[in-house]
Amino acid sequence: MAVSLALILVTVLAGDPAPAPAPAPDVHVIDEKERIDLQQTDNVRLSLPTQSDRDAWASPGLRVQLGYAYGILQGTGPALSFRSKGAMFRPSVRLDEYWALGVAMLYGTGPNGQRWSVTAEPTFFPWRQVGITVGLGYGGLAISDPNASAGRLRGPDEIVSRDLNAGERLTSCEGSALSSLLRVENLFVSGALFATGPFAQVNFQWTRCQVSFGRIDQETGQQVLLTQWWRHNGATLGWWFAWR
Amino acid sequence: MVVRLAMNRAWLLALFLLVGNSAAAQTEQAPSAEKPAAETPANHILTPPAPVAMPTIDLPPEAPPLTAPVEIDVVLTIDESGAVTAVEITRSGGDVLDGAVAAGAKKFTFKPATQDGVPIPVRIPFTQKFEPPPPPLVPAAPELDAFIEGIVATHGTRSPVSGATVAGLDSETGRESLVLSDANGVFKLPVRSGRWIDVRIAAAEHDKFVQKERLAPNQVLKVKYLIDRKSYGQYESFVRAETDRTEVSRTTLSGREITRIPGTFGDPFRVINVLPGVSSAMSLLPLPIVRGSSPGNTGILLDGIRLPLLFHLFAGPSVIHPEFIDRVDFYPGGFPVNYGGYTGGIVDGVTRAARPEESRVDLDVTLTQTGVLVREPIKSVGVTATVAGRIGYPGLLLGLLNPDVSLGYWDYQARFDGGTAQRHWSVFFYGAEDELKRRPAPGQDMQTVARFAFHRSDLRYERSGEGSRELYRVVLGYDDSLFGGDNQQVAGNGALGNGTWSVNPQFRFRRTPIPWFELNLGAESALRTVTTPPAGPNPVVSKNQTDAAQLFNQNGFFSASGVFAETVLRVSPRLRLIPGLRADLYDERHSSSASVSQWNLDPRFLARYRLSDSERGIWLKGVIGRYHQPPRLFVPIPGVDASSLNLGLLASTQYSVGAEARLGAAAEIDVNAYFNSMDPILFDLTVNPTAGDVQQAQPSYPAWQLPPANRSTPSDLADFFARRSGRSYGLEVLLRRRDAEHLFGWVSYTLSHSERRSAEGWIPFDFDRLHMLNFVAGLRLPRNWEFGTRVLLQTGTPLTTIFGQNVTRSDGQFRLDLRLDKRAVWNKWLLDFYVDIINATEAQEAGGLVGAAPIRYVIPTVGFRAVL
Repeated sequence: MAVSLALILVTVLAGDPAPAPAPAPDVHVIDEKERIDLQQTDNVRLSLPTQSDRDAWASPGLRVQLGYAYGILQGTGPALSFRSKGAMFRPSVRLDEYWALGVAMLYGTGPNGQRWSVTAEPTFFPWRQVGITVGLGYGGLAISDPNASAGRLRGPDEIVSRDLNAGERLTSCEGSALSSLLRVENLFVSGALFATGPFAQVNFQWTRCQVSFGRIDQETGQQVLLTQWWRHNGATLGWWFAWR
Repeated sequence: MVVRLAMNRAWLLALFLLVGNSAAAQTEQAPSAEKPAAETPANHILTPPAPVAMPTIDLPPEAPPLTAPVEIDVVLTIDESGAVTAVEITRSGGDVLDGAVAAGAKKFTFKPATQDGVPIPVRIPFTQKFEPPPPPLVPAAPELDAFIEGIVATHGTRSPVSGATVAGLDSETGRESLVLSDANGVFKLPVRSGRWIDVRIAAAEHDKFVQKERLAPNQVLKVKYLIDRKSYGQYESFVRAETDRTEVSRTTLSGREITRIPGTFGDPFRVINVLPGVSSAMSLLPLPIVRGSSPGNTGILLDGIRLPLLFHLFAGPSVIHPEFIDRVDFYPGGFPVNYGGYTGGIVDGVTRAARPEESRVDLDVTLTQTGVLVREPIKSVGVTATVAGRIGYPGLLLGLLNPDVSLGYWDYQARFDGGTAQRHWSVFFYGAEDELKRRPAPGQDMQTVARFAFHRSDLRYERSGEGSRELYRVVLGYDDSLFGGDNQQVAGNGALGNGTWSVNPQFRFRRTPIPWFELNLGAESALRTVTTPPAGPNPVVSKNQTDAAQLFNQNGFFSASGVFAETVLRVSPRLRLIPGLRADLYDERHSSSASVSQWNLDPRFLARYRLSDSERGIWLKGVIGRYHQPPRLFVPIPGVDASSLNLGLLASTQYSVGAEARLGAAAEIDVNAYFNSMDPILFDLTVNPTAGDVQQAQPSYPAWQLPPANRSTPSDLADFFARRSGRSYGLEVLLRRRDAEHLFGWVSYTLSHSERRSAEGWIPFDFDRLHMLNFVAGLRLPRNWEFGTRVLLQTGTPLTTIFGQNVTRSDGQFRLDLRLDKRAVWNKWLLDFYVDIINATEAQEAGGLVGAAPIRYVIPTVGFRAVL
């Protein structure tokens, strides 16, 4: 009876003009014992997939990727070269079959410190889950040369901030500036919600390095800083774990 | 008053069951008629409107044929008589359907909502759903010789889904049989045996369901079909009843607004840092600078009672499980007379009562802590019990870096709710302990350096009736803090521990004898007795140590007692006048010195005026008030509260005017201008040197060497005890979209001038930030993703040069926090996974306690939470 009432209610709510009289449906009443049996049944079914896994990954929506990266950053000029291991976090939005927009965050190791970058990235998918990404953003370093001998710069004598001359070199760097990259990746779809695969990228980092010596400029109240621009070119290999 | 519940036409019929409990929203369980009435942010008892007659809204004949369900969202304004006076379309279904809903909804009648028994106008959302006509029914034919007998339930929560359409399609003949699930999600579908049947289920707010079944002749297949919800967010939407506000500058946050903000670790108390008028002495530390006042001038309260410890290890998670907190009320100033003992702002975390039928298990695990919460009704005694506990092990990670240091913490909460909406009682036990250990020398055992512990028992009984409400409450407590411990080498001054027993009785009385007059009375007291263990051998005596002892070694008896009276005069529907008076008496008795008493009498006057008769009109508001407090340390530490009454009381006079208005169904804007005169100020948090200090020769250090730890500091405790005066003035703007549907967030801007008087005249306060801009947003996405972001932009704090004290500023600060939540659904439980990144761009932070030497950091957090 409940079923019939519900059907009638739906009809009324819809405001549909009265249909032609139809044969009354059979009403199958479930008694209380059957209800209890139903509550206790372990025969549970979930829905079958409504689209293929590959189609699901190509459809619009949010993606989240966690990655592991290993790379080399080759410094030019006074910049320190080093190897880095890092973790990446990349939320993105798949716009259509071919395009996605994301933001990648990289936090990696460096000599006596760390490197990081945050880049905005459009991705083009020419074929299935193969993606080509260009990124541009903000990145930085907080590292120091483990082999540098103390006192290569006369920091304690400085009383005002200045940029270093061509012949000088900072032995440590803390700062940030522009970061860019080009990445190629391929994700292997292993389900409607999970995919994984490798990536390779080249990246370029410009850093406005600044070093303080614990001295305050008495006229400005700010730290006395020595500044030097460093540039790095890098190559990175890594692996993505992705969810949708 | 905010209540989060899914609302549609059927639900509205049960509205009086639902709106009644602002705390009812934490789970997706079915509502109950036994919920207590709602407690509004101003501690009023709100009884929601109850539907009396709701004539069916028919599909207009002129409407185009429907091929899919059409939902039309509206907001109903229900006046004091229960009539629907206005219908605002918030989601259109086209002119024809909109018109039908607007006309039909005006025929609804309700029993009006009441506040403390007085009928009030409210606005509630309502959704009208027009369904397309169902497909023709296929009668059970003789060849339908088997049955699928089942339950349609939500995947993860197992809640039954009523009204789901269950169709069985014969893959060979194309014939389809169709039934609807009943109120318990039960259905019985006749099918033909011996061939594959495509079972398809469609239900509102759920994804499509497809399954294949093949039955034998006369077989009855018993099965549960679990269908996925489109969204498993805890809070489906808001029901917002606009209560009669009787304050000027209160912001109330709840739901996702206090648990899903990036950079807050999901802790409700941290969220105030992104509201107007608030800056911080340093990120992550609980040192809020509210309208230019020192951190010790802002009260961090739990249900109106001071929390002795706010965050574990000062920068970790809060000591109260977030699940207990229903909402956070924040007053940047101008708070009413029921709050006393503070001259800055008030942050009041309001707990919620568990519903009688509420049941859940909540387990959360992060890299640094594990917590569990169990809520279960004990039906035999009519009590709902909630027990929670957490243990933190940051020392495991820290030990990897430094094996000679150990950090740990734990906390517990146990709450029992019973009674009815009119006679409600609760017992709430909670406590926490933080401990720092250090190995004094290689090979030796770890020794305690500092320990902070507290325990509270909060006993409450509330009685409400027609136009009245009473609260009787007593909070018993014990605090135990230890500085230095058994290792005198660490603190250099022996043990600075104390044990504090405390009793806080509280009484509240609200009475509305006639609709235009409301009387609020209250009395409360905080009694503490402090016992400090004797100092260790060979105590070092110094001026700083003596000063510190004045703060921490307070052997003696302390009391703070207050009474208040407030009236709310509803002079007209557009005008509210709220005069109030509060008196406090502070007393300090030591065995070694004469007792000291201080008292104050604080009048406060608030007014609100609506510019038009429209419920959505602009409110103008203003407050003037006098505020006093005893000297109090800038950071909450168990056993360390008000002290040094011999120095006098801090005082401030606060003025504020502003305007607020609603912008649509879920948005609002609030603008306040304020001026605070603070005289005297004691225990002011100061860090900057004077110009004379700067002119002295500075030691210098190479880049590879940290400054020695014993470097002389420009300020010491003598400055802390100095008597100062100050003022602050500025403008606060909050543009907010409440947590409705998929998006919530706000933009807050503060223009601030906070100054202190010095020998050079008025100079900026050490932590003053001229401009502060916060952007917060949370977005619910498909497939149970949630994304949140917070952006902070603020100017730097003052710096001293040889040209004067605080004449320049440090660099400004930019900070980007991100949070991503994913809810995975299993057959019987839900798994939440989140990533939270604080300062994702590693932007440098300068100013405040950091001073001119910027620091960089990034704090990623990964967490899991299982909900059964």
